[in-house]
Amino acid sequence: MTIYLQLAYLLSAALFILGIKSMGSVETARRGMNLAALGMLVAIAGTLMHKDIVSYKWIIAALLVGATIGTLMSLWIPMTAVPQRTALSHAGGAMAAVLIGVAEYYRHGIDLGTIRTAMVGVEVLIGGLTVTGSLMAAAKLQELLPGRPITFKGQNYFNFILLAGMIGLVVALVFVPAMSTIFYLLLALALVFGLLLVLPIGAADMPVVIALLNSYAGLTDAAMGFMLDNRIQIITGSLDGASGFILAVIMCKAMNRSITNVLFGAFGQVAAPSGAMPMPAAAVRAGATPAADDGKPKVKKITPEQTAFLCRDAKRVIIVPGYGMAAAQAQHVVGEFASMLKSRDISIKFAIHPVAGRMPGHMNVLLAEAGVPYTDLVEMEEINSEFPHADVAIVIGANDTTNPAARHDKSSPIYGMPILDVDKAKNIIVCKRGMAPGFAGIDNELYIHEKTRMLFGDAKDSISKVINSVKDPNLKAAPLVEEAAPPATGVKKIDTEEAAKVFRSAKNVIVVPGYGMAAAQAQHIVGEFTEILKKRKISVKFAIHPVAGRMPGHMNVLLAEAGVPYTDLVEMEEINSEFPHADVAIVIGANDTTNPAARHDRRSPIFGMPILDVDKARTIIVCKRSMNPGFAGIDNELYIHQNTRMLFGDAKDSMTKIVKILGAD
Amino acid sequence: MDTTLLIIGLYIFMLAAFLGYQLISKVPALLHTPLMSATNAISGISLVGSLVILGENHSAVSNTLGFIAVVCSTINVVGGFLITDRILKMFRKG
Repeated sequence: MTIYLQLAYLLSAALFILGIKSMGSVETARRGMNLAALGMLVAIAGTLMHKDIVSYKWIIAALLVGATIGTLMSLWIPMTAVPQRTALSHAGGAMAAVLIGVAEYYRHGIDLGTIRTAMVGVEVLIGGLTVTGSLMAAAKLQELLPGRPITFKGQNYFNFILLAGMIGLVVALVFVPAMSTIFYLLLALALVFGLLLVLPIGAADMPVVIALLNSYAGLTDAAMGFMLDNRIQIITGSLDGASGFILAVIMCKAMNRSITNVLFGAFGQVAAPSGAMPMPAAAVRAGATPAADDGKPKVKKITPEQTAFLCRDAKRVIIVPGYGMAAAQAQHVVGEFASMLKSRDISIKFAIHPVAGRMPGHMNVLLAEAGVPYTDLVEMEEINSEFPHADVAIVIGANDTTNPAARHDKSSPIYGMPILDVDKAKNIIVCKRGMAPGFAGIDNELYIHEKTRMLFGDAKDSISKVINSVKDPNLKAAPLVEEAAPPATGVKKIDTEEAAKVFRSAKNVIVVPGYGMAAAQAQHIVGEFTEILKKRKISVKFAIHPVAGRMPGHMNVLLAEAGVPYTDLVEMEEINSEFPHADVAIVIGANDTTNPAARHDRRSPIFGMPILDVDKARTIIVCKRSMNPGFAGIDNELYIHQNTRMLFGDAKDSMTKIVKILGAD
Repeated sequence: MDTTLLIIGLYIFMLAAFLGYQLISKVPALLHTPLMSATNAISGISLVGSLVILGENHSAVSNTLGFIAVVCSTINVVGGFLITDRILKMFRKG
């Protein structure tokens, strides 16, 4: 290889890296990818000058065929099918690498030398399993094969033995490179292994599988780079491998599962409840849903007209799309619905769960295609804090990712999976064909939630009807839709006796201290208070806002001085996810840092400030002298929250009284 | 290929993996799908290896294998860049 070609490859590598870097933001992505494409052009043009190339006839033919297929595929493919296309391209890339490996072995065989022989072995091993694994994944996604996991007894052992055998063959090949039987047996086994690897994985886990296959395809390319001593291929293979791996990890986190569990767990095959005896579904639901007072939760229905009425009068609407929306080809109608609501000055956002769709980021693409601006597509962590302020949340085709059971039902197979907090919205509408469960095969508690109404039918039809109804100027109030619970605006008080009672029955308590606590010299009594609660086996944590106190880390020092262990002092980002699980949150001397207005009230001077999500706790006690505002000089919405009780008085006095009552028990 | 070249290759592999980790971690979830089609297009660089093998015109077997490999890689390169651009074009501000 001449020095010029090497320099051209170096330039290409730099352009590729810049291209990937540009994917860090939407603004730079397109320009960056143009640079990467330029890099590719430089590399290909340079290679065509390679001195070893003696015949161009077949090269030109192959380039034309490939370019034609590639262009047609990428321009005509619907966005719903992008995961399949991606899986196919992993298969194609790996296949190219495997074929080149075979060609190299066929031509040079014993002359390859130890290192190259080993690399060819690795290339064929990983490449082979990527080819058939990706084809399997594509077939499952295209529904040519059943999406459910296919398993047989001893599958994992069999796969493990197969893998060990293949590694053994690679080693054997290095020692006896002349024995071509070993090489072709290795190739055959790798192809079989790829099939077996993806067979037991269900359709719901495809985002992880595609990302992993992406990683394998990258590793195959890197191995090919080693074999041909082509550095740029080592670089791109390594980048690709890292990319696929990170995406697989992100997807697994979003489903609260480990990679091993995805690969070997055959999730979604059985809806096995961990309790051995089969409980009647209704009883299970009733036990898990506080909404069901009479023990028999009812599914409430809603018509498109009533939905239209509800949406028309809403200020904030959140749409929760799932793959079911795309399957019903409803994304364009949904996009139209969103832009129509927007034109009526209704704030509309889309809640995007990381595993919505069939590959990482898939839902974003589907909605972008339907004309929804990407600024309206909000990721899970960000949107979850907005659900409590949403007047209406409409779930279209999403299922397991909205099931509140993931938060509290330890026996549920999806327990611990991060979900969209749809149940926090004021009104919930679920657009769905029937009550059938999702991929995980379990019932969705959301459907029987007291605030939920089911809009049964085909998503496309239903939403079209809703659109027509919203446009209808004669739309009348629908009698079947009861008003959501009117927000309580009065200030509710509590005295120390009652407060002590609340603490007695609590399991999780979060203390939210502010400088007011220190000003009242109440930190020591607060320390004592936590000791007493802990003796009663009540979990106590302190929520520390970064600006609590008068200098960075100040509140930590004040509390440490009062004997509170630093392990109980939890930073804002970490504790915010715990407020929804707290039975009681007691605010002592904190003010602006707990004001929910910071999240949603654009006119508020503290809008956008990160706050402690105290309002998510089940009961909130605010210990305060009066209703006076804090530093920012604004009223605190938390004080008039329906779950808030004001404990008026001097913090030290109040806490001393509570400690006395609790200590006397 | 001697061991020196292998070691150099392993260094490159390792550094690129760390670089990849840094770069990919910064990609927002919004762009994960175009990211995958982009890395897909870029890893189509294996085309250069296939081109040389096909161009050497060594034998019928090697030509056939090389031909299929060039077609597959070209599909990935052309298709990958085009679909990435098609997707990125769809993302717009509100």
